[in-house]
Amino acid sequence: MMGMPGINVLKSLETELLEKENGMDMDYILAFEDVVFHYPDTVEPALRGLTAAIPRGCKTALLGHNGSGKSTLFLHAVGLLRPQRGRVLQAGLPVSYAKKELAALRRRVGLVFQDPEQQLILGTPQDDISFGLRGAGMDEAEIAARCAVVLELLNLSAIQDKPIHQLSLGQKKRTALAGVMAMEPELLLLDEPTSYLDPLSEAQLLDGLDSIHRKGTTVVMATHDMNLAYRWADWIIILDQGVCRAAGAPEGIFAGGELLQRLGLALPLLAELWHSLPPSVTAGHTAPRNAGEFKALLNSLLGEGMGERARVAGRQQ
Amino acid sequence: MWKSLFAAIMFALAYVLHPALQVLITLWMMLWCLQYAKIPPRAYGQLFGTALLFYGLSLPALLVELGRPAAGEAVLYLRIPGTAQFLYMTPAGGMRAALLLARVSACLACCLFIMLTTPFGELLQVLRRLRMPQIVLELMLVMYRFLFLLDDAAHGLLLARRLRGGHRGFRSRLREAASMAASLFANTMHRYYGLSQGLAARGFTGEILLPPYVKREVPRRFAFEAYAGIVLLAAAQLWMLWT
Repeated sequence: MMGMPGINVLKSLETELLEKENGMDMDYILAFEDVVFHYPDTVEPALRGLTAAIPRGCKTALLGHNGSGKSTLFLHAVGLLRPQRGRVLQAGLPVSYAKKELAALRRRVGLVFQDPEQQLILGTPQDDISFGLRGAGMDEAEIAARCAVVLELLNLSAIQDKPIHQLSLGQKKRTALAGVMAMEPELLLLDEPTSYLDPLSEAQLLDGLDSIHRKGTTVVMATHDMNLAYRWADWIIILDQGVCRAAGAPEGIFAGGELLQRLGLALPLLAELWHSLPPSVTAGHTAPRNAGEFKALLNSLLGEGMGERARVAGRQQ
Repeated sequence: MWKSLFAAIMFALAYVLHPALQVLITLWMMLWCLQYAKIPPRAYGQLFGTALLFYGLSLPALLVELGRPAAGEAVLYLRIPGTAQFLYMTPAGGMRAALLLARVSACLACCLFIMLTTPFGELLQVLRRLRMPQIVLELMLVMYRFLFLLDDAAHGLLLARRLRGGHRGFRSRLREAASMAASLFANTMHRYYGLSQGLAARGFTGEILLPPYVKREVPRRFAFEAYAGIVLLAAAQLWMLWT
């Protein structure tokens, strides 16, 4: 799945969902099938026949303008909103809205809200992280072990007993993430996790996410930051006005700027730089996804160029 | 638990002991907060002063009397023009206010001691051990969270209004305060909705389960000082009663 370049437009997603229903080999952890949702007291529906799927094991970035339906999609994924038409499938099965099944769903699918205040409940990071675990009926030894792991992983050990209201925004965001991570969900959804964070806090948060992903969790991040999506994600989904406009690997999505331009989204800086180079230079190379890769590629290209010049000079002599 | 018990005993003593000992309790509890717990004096003073404002508001009722004082009874008086009535203050009224101040200060110092030196989570654990109903604990917990959310929202709104220039004049300020209260209400309701969504997303099943009570070792030096202090206060009260 991850190696599949190009853009799967809406039609192909529908086909893939159909294939999945027919038992064919498409491993999606979460899928939306023609989902419509209209908030009360609003003119336009938030989701208008959304069909999209999130591949298992991928780091997926959900892109789109404000009001494109990203947060609404997340609220549907954890059963906080129920589609007015269509259905949501988790691990291939339609989401059930019975109380018991919803509780089980929320243990499998974790959601980290954009505003951490929305989900921090108890007084200190240590207590708050244990909230969901205790609610799930775990014994205290298991709770302590899981808390210790996520506190360490997200660099929160030093502040585990500090009152929540004294934490910085970055620390609150990491605490909210830790509370969800401790539940060890198979799918982790993050709504604008890096908004308002300074570069250091953002780096710490992304390190934590990479650690979670390495352990086998599928991570989905809604973001406006195209540069971040480009360098971080394995799979991109673009939402616009409540429908999925495109989905695919970043190389494919960002290869042609027309779609993004049409949707009013900016091309990531690295992709723009790469595609502005002459095709004779980029031919045979894959587009770099981060500054390090870009630097290495430039060095190698420059090296090749210098070598060529040296060979030409040698022949002339 | 130890600290709560200590505060409870001190609170009880603050009610029953001689006013001079109540003053001592106030000073001793301040020592625990400011010296041992390193609470910033400014913050402590603000909290203490704010709470004492309520006492201040009741002062006129304690000190000032209306009527015709007996000869030599009033130390200060003011005749109400056109009547034979006086507003006056007596030494007894002053004494009543002073006694109340001693008791209020001592009780307040005990409350601040437990509030400022005990993490809220531990306080809830103690209350749970004292068999406080779960619903009360949950309400306390949610209210505690909302105190900070409310403070945060109010601070943000106030700052934004100040930066935008605000209004001048008393009437404009009143209008501004009213509109701020409305914004604050809307903001807080929005946050409340968000928090309820957050609770549901984290698997809230109708009961917030609190962490279990963890017994902590009390430093011997503090335990000794507390026991010694209680004994000395009780002994001083007995001595005052017998002499």
